[in-house]
Amino acid sequence: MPSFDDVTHAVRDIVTSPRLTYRQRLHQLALAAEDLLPYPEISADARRAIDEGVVCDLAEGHAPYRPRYVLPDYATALRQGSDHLELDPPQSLEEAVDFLQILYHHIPSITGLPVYFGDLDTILGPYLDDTWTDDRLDRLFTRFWRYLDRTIPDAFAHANIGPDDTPITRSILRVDRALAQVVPNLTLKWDPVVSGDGLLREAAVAIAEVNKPHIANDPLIRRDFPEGYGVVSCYNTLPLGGGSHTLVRLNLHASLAHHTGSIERYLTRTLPDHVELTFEVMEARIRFLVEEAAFYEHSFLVDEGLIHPERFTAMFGIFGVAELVEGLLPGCTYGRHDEAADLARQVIDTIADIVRSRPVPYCRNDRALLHAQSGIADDVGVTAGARVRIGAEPELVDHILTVAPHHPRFPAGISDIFALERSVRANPQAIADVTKGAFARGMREITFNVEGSDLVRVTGYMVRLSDVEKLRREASRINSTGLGADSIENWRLLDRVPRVIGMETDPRMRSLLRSG
Amino acid sequence: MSLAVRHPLDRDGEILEVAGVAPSSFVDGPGNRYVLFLQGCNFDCPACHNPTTIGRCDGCGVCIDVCALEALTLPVTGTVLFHPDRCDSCGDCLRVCPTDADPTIRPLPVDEVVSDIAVHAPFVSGVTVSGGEPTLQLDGLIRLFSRLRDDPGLAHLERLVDTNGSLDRDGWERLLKVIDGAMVDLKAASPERHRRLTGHDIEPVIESLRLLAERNKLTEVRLLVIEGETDDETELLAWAGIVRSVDPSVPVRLMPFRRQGTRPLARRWHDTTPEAIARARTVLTAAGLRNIR
Repeated sequence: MPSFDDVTHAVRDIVTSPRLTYRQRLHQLALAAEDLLPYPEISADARRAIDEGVVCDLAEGHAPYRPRYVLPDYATALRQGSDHLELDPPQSLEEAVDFLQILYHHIPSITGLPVYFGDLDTILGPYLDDTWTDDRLDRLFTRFWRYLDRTIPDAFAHANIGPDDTPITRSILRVDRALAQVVPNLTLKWDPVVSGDGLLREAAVAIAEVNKPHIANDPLIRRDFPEGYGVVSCYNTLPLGGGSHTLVRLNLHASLAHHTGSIERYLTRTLPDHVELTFEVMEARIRFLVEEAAFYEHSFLVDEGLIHPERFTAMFGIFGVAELVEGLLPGCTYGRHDEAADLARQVIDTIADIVRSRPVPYCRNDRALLHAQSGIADDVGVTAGARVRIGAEPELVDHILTVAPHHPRFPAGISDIFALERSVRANPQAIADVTKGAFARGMREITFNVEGSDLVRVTGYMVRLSDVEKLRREASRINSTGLGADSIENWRLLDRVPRVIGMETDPRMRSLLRSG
Repeated sequence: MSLAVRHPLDRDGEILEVAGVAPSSFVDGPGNRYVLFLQGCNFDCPACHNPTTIGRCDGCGVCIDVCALEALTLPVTGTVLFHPDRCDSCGDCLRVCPTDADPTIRPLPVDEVVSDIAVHAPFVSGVTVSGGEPTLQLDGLIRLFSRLRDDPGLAHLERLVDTNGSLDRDGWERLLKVIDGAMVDLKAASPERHRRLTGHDIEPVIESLRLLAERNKLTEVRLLVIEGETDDETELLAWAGIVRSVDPSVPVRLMPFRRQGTRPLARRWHDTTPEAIARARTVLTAAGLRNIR
C-alpha cells in the first residue's frame, strides 16, 4: 500500500499537471483512486513476477470494473434502437451516424473511450440510397471524422472497413486520407476475391500519404471468428459482440533473466512456469471483473444484446521474442540467422500450445487468445511482440518471410511495422504488391510507415510528429500523444530502417547471390 | 554487329554476371520490382553513380596482388576466381581495378536467378534488369526472360529492361520477343554533349527510342538532370524535341544527379536541387511533353 503522503502527492501532481487537459486529469484521478484498492488476490510467486517485470498487466489498475476492449454489435443496435438511451432505430444514413455518435459515449474500455467504432461501411450500408452521391458522402464522413477526432481523442479508437468495396468504403478512404487525423485509427479488411485489387490500390494510395489504413487478411482472420471480428486498438483481433476482459503479457526478455541452464530447460521448465504465472494474474483479474465488479450483470449493452458475456475472451500477450532468442543463442541475430528464427518458432509454438489447451474461466470457448503485443512506452530495450529488433531488419521481403510463419499462432493479432522509403509515394502500387505477397505467405495483417509523413505509427496507433513537438510545451488534446512521444524517444522508433532500395545508387548486394 | 560480350565461363548464355540484386525496389518500374543489376557497361559516363559496374573483369590479375587475404586467385590465365569465405570486403581490389570492374562478382547460372525470382514473385509486379548495361549480356538476358515467360508461375511478371539504348536493331529484334518494355536513358540532346556525357554517339540511342516506340515497348525515357549541363533551356528544348518526335505521350522521368558514389570526374557538379528538377519539368511541359513523372 502506498502511504497517504504518496497518494496526496500523486493526486496533486495530476491536478496541477500542465501537460494534461481537464479530462485527462479526471481520467488519471480515477486510475489513482482505483489503485488504492488492493490487487486481486494472487500468489507470492505471481506478485514477484509482476514486480520483476516478467508478467505485466499494462497498468490496467487494481480493480477491473470494465473490460479492457469492448466490440459492440452496432448493426443490431442500429436495427433495434436502444431503450436505455431512449433512441428509436435510425431511418436514414444521417440519423444512423447521429445514433452511433451518441452510442460511442456509452462504450467502456480501458482508455475510458471506445476502442471500436464498428465496421462502418457494413453497418451503414443499409442506409445508402440513390440520393447519396460521392460528394455528399464525403461531406457527411468529413463531419463524422471531425467529430470522432475531436470528441474521442484517443488513437486506440479504431474504425474498420471492407471487405466489400462499397461507395462508403471508398468515401471513408478518401476522407481519412484528406484529413490525416490521428482518430480514428483505420483498418481495411481485405479479401482478394471480395474486395479486389482496386480497393487495395486505393488503400495503398492512402498509406503512401498518411500511413493509414492498416490492412487485415480478412479470409484468414474470419476463419478464427465465426461470430465476426473487429480490429481494435493496436491490432487486436477480437470477437464481434464481445471483446477481451483483460490483456496480461509475458515479457520474454525478463523471463530469460530468471532462467539458468539449457535452451531445452528453458522451453520445458522456465517458460511454462512463466506462462502459468501470467495465466494466474489474468485469471485473478477476470474473476474480479466478472464476480466482484459484476460488470456484465449491470450493463445495458448486455441487456440489449449488443455484447454477449460468452463472446469475451482474454488476451495472452507476449513480447521480447527478439531479445529472448538472441539471449539464448549468443551471436545470432533474429531476422538475420535461421537458427534464431527457428528458435523463435519453437518458443511461440510452446506458448501457443499451452494457451490453446489451458482453460480460463469466463472466457469464450473457455480459452484465452494469444497476442503478439505491440509494446508500450516503458518497454525500453525490449522489442514488441515477435518483431525483429529496430535496426536489425533484413531486406523487406526477407523481413516479411522471417515473421510470417509466426502469424497463424496469434489469433488475437500480431502486428509489425514495415518502414518504406519515401520513393514509394510516387509508386503506391508497390505497397499493394508487398501486401499481396505478405498475405499469400500467411501474414494475418500488415502495416507500413512511409518516411516523411507527419502522421506516423507508434506500436499500432497513430501520432502526429507535430503534436509530439508541441507536447513539449503544452497539453495535447489527444490522450495518446504523450504515450507516442515517450515511445518515439525510448525506442528510437523512427530509426526503423527502410529496407527497400530507393535509389539505384545503392544496389544492395545480397549475400545469396554473392556467396551462394 | 551485336555488342554482346560473353563471360569467359559462359558457353551458351546460361551464365549472368550479376553486380547486385534488389529484391524490392520502388523506383525501377511500376509497382514493387525485383531488380537485377548486370555487370558491364559500354558507356563511360562521368556522372555514373555506380562506376564499379562499368567494367567487366578481363582477368588481368592486378587485384590478386593487393588482396592480402588471398580471396582472389588466378588459377588459369585470364580468369580471376573469388573466394567469398576469405573476403573481408575491404574494397582494395575495386580501387586498383584498371577496368572499373568488380572481381568479386560471381557468374550466376540463369536457373539460380530464376529460383530466387520465384521466391520473391508473390511480392512484385515484375522484374527489371538494369546495370551496367544489361543488353551487353544479351544471350543470358534473353535466356532469363524466356524462362520467366515460359514458367506458368512467373509468366505474369512484367519484364522490363533499364538500358542506355545502345543496342542495335538486330539485338532489339531478339530481345523484344521476350520483354514487355524498356526504360531508356537519353542523357543529353546535343550530339556533342551526349558524347561528352557518355563517351558515345547519340544516333543509336535515338534509333532505339524510335524502334521501341513503334513496337509500343517504350516504357519510359529518363533524363539525368545535371545542373549546368543538362538543365539549360536550349538543351532541354532540344531534348523535348527528340522525345516528342518519338512519342509525345511517353512517360518521362527526371532523375536528380547525385555525387555520392561517382568518380572524381563528376566532382565539378553538385547534387541537383528539387528546384532544378521543377524548372526542368516546367520547360519540358511547355515544350509539349505530356507525361512527366
